Amino acid sequence: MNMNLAVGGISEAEGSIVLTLSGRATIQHANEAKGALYGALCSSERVVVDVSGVTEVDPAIFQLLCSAHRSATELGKRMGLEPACPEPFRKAAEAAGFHPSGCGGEARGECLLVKEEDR
Amino acid sequence: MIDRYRQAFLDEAEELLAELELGLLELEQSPADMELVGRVFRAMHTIKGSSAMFGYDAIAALGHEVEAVLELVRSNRLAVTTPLVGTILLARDQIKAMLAGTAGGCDGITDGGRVIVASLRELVSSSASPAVAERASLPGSSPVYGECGEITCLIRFRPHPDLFLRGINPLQILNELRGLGPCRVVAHTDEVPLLEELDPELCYLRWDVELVTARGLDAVQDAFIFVDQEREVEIEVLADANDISPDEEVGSSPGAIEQHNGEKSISSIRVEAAKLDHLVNLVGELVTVQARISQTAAVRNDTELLALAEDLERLTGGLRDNALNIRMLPIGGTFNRFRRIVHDLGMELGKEVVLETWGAETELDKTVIERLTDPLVHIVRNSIDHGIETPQLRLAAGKPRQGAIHLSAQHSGGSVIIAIRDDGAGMDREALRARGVERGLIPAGAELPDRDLMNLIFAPGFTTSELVTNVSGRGVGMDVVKRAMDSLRGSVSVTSLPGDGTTITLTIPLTLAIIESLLVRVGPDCFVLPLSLVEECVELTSADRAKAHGRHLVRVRDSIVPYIPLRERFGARGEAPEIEQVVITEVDGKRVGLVVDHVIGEHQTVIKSIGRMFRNVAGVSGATILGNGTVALILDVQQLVQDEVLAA
Amino acid sequence: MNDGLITETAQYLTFKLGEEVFALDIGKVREVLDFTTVTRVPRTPDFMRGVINLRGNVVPVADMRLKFGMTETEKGVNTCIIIVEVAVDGETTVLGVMADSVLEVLDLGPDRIEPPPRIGTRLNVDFIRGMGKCDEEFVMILDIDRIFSCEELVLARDMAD
Repeated sequence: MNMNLAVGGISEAEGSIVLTLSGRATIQHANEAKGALYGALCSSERVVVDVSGVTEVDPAIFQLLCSAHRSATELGKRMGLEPACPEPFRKAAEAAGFHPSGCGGEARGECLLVKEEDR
Repeated sequence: MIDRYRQAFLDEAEELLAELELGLLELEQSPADMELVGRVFRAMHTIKGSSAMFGYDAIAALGHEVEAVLELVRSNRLAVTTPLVGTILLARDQIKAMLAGTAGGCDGITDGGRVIVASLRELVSSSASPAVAERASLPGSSPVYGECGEITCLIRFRPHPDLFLRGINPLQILNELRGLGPCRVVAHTDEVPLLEELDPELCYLRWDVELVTARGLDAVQDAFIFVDQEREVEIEVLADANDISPDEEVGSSPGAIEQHNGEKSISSIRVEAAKLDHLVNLVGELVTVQARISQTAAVRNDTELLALAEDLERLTGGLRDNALNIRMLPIGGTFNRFRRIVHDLGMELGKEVVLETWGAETELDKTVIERLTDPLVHIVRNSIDHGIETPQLRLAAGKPRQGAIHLSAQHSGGSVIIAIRDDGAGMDREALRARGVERGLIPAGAELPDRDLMNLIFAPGFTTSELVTNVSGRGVGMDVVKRAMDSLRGSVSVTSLPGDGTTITLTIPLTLAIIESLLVRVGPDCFVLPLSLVEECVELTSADRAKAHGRHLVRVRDSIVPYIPLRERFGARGEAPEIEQVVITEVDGKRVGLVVDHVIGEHQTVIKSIGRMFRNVAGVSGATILGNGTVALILDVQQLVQDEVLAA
Repeated sequence: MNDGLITETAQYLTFKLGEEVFALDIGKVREVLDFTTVTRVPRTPDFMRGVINLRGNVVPVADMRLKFGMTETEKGVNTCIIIVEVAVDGETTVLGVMADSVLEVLDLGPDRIEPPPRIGTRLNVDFIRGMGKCDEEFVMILDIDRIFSCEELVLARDMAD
């Protein structure tokens, strides 16, 4: 039941990297996931994280995605979640107190984790 | 890093289980004490929660069943009874076994566990209100309102960055709060750094929770049981529906309840025992080096060096006392274990026994306490089995039904005296005598002093019990106690009054690391013997020897004391000096002299193991390093005396 | 635990007891000390000379000459104590052995080592792992674990009684 990290190929049309998280996305794999996210952000203008295969996720991973999202904005790059956001993922994010209205503190736009409505 | 927290969890669980046990036993004595109920509940709740965090799911499940019962007790729907306490004690033992047995805790509940769960559920179903029982067994389901009025509170949860590493998943806390009533949870991410600076194992998140609950502030606090409530949680009561609520002492005062207290410093820290042992070892070496420096300074007669050596001596002494003091623990923890033993044994033997303790705060070196537990168990078992009479016998003798075991501890100089007193029948001297004769320990018809008669119980394999019970009486026990005390450089004695009971007294040194001793010389070699055993020193001249006609006896004022010529026993080289010294020691209540060439003086002895190769050498219990850097052996006086008696 | 067969090239520390040269697997040797004061432990066999202070630890010292039927080691200019690690009952313990002098560290391949002779040595052949050949001379490679094996210690205990 390990979290499998896989970096998908760069899609030619959009020039984006697809990073796949699946299984248990928990603190045990947070360092690994950070490395993958950092690498992806450095090498591509657009990073898409595919969380459709995630069965379990904890606040450490939310925090990581939040940090990555913030870094992407800072670098003028784009980062998004794979549109097919699974129900357990969205529910866990809400349970952890993430809201569509966006991050607390400075206005940084809407939250990466919980969208007002799936686009 | 996670493993370190797991170890911390195991340590904490051990303490909580002890707390749970103690609380339950006290609860049995005072079933109406709601504060005790709360203590027991919290201990169980913490065990349950942290077990779940570390993946001990089976333990969490069992803990959950226990909690259901305790919840009923807490809400006055179930009375505290002996079977209830007994069942929860069994559950507690089961949890302890599960913690000890499995590394991952992934095993399911065993058959034994299932029986316990069944008894727990039976207790739940026997409660006054089945509806409440149902609710209690399902925390997290929708709460029943109107119990104690609703309160609205704002909870600010500002965890320390190591939250995740402590194995805490804040989702569990948030979900527990949701179980208490409708709430709104907002996570704050403003402190989350950019990816480059992020340590993904630390927690940068903060939460605000607005909660409306009817379960009281206690329940809210219970949700945060694993976090430092003083530092990480702030609970503010915004609105209180029941302004005056006598039951809810905390929730009763409207307004803010500040739990946040940043200024308060930590009053204690948890340190690995191995680190302390290492510290004590280092201090031991320092003491040795300091002794060498003092000696060198004295030899050179250099005033400046002497002054420095004196300062060093003072500092080293202070450091030594402090280091040893850190390792001191109150003996109360050990005493508390006996509540359970007394409870269980009393039940088993059909006796009513109450345990009284005194001086639980008395401190002893951790290593001494560890080695003291088994002997104490033997003694307490013996007291209940042989000492305390059945209620019928007690009533017939005009005593109260309930027998008492009195455990006490107190300091006395460099030693601790532990006494185990029962108010039972006392020892039957005739039975002791008969048994002693039967076993060939004493000649028939011998008139023995009372003390010697009593001491027969410490002979190997000695028992007078007619009935061999499975508790004691198989002739193992008291000789084990005797040997344990010898190895601790302590002693044991017994007094007993017929009809009034028996007292066993243990005298133990405070520490095993450093002892005060007497340094002596035999031939070219130095030896040390524990000062606690030494009474006095007298001279032995060849004229004295001649007067005794070759028998090893010396006159010390009005009495004749037998002695052991160490020079002869050890085959020392060279000639004995004209005047030898006899060190008079008291061992097991008897005075025995040890003849040495010279008595050098008192010595701070840092005890060193003599190592595996020599561990079976009789008469030597260890070694120490002298001021000049050579090794001196520590004499095992008890063993020497015993060998002498056997050889005679 | 070795079975006595030497199959690999290894380094050996050679030392002299009287006129005979012995060798110890360098992996067993911790350090070599100058001769120091040894405190006798009463009621132990003669070849156990006693204990020394090794930087604050108490370490037993054995006299190999006595163990091998020679006269007691006398203190001389080259006398030293070789500190070795010995496995007793699977537990490692530190022990000093006395030597009249320490010679050198030798590389010996299996081709230069012969099995212990059945006869012609006053030593118990169980104590010898093999005969190393060096400059036309033989050195006896000692099996230090076996010398201080549990049987030997039990024996030591009996003698002590």
